[in-house]
Amino acid sequence: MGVSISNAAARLVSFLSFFLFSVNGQASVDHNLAYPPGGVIPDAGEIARQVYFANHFYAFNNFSIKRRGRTMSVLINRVGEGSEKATALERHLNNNYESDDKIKARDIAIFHSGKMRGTGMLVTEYADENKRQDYMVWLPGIRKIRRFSQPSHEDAWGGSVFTFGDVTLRKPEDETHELIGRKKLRTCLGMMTNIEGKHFRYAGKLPERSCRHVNKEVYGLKSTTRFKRWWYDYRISYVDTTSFADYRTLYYKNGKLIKIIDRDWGLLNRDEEGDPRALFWKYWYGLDLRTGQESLAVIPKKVVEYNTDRKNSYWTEKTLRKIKR
Amino acid sequence: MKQTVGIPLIGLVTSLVMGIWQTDSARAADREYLRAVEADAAEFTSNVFELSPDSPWIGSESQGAILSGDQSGGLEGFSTFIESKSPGSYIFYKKLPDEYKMRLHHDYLSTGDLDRIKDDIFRYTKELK
Repeated sequence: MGVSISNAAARLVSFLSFFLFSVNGQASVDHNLAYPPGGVIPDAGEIARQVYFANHFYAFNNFSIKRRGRTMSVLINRVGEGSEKATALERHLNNNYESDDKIKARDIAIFHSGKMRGTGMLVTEYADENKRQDYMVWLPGIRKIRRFSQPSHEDAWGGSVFTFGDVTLRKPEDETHELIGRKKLRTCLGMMTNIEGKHFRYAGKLPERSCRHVNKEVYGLKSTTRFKRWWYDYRISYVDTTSFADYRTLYYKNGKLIKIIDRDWGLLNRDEEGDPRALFWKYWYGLDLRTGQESLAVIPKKVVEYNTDRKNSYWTEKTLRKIKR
Repeated sequence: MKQTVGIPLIGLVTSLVMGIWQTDSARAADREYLRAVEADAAEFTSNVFELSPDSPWIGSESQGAILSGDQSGGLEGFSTFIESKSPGSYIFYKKLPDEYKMRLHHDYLSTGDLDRIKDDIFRYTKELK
């Protein structure tokens, strides 16, 4: 029983990590990171920090991917020639803590499909950089909360192509960065072609491959890992020169391309209304060339809500205990 | 008896043929995608982008890609895109002044939110009346 609960919880942590994007310990980047001054090309390290800022949603006080009717965020995995497996969930992130608060950010996620249905998780990031994140999981089977440690960078989340490092844990200081050029993005972003634009459970109509970024100016950022005997040697990211959205990342090992991750981003407000980094992920597509596995995470715009007046008391264990199976 | 055996066999053969066909299609799609990604990446070192214009990953105007001019231009392509995605909205869109079309185009490029663009087309149409 203990083992099965641990396995279930480990899987849950794995699934949730993609959506727990902002709760992540890092020393150098927080919501105070200024947008680089105009007319100056930032150095590679600064670009990496700006990418981190965008990916961790620091432009928002709070950010929710909620459930709206039957529509939810969905993670779709396909291994080889098998059928697609989907997981639906909602999540709510809160960055709205005072600077002298011991908590820096909190995030709640709730599952709405599959074996994990009714399970919830509360992740706490502390202001003290030396303190590890706190993962509390509500297990509906036993109606109890259990605590878990932070997962490893190289672990795959939810059986997908994406690792914990890809999604949330990798920090700018985990790699050395080099600007390899500036050019236009020439191709559309990837997509699971067999389900492209089709109706899919939870998400409604899936997006088509995103081509609207074609001809946008991007930096080429080469990031070499500082970890020894790592699963990749370096990766090359295509970073928007204005919004710092990383549209594409190519992973190389021994000079060979081994994995691709494409991300479609959307600005939540119009440009003139605020920070150009106030973006959200519309979808992620991943292809592992070693295994042929594909993954797709879709966040429909209609389920996104941000900077609401929800109280901080929502991000507590009490909310986890209220989850209905 | 023959019939009951025959029908499942036909179904099985059909499934196998369809399966092989779908797998081949999927692999072909992967190969095309990979070629496109590699051609795009090679440009960082060679300054040359070489990919067949028939590649489905180059993007077309009906997919929202801006293939002519820079991102601030390409209004013609955007008009094609609106016409293909929302013929109803296009009736109103085509009557808007270029200034409004440019604004809509810019919004689409940054947000990717076609529903909002459609709402804005009607809003601008009302404003101009």
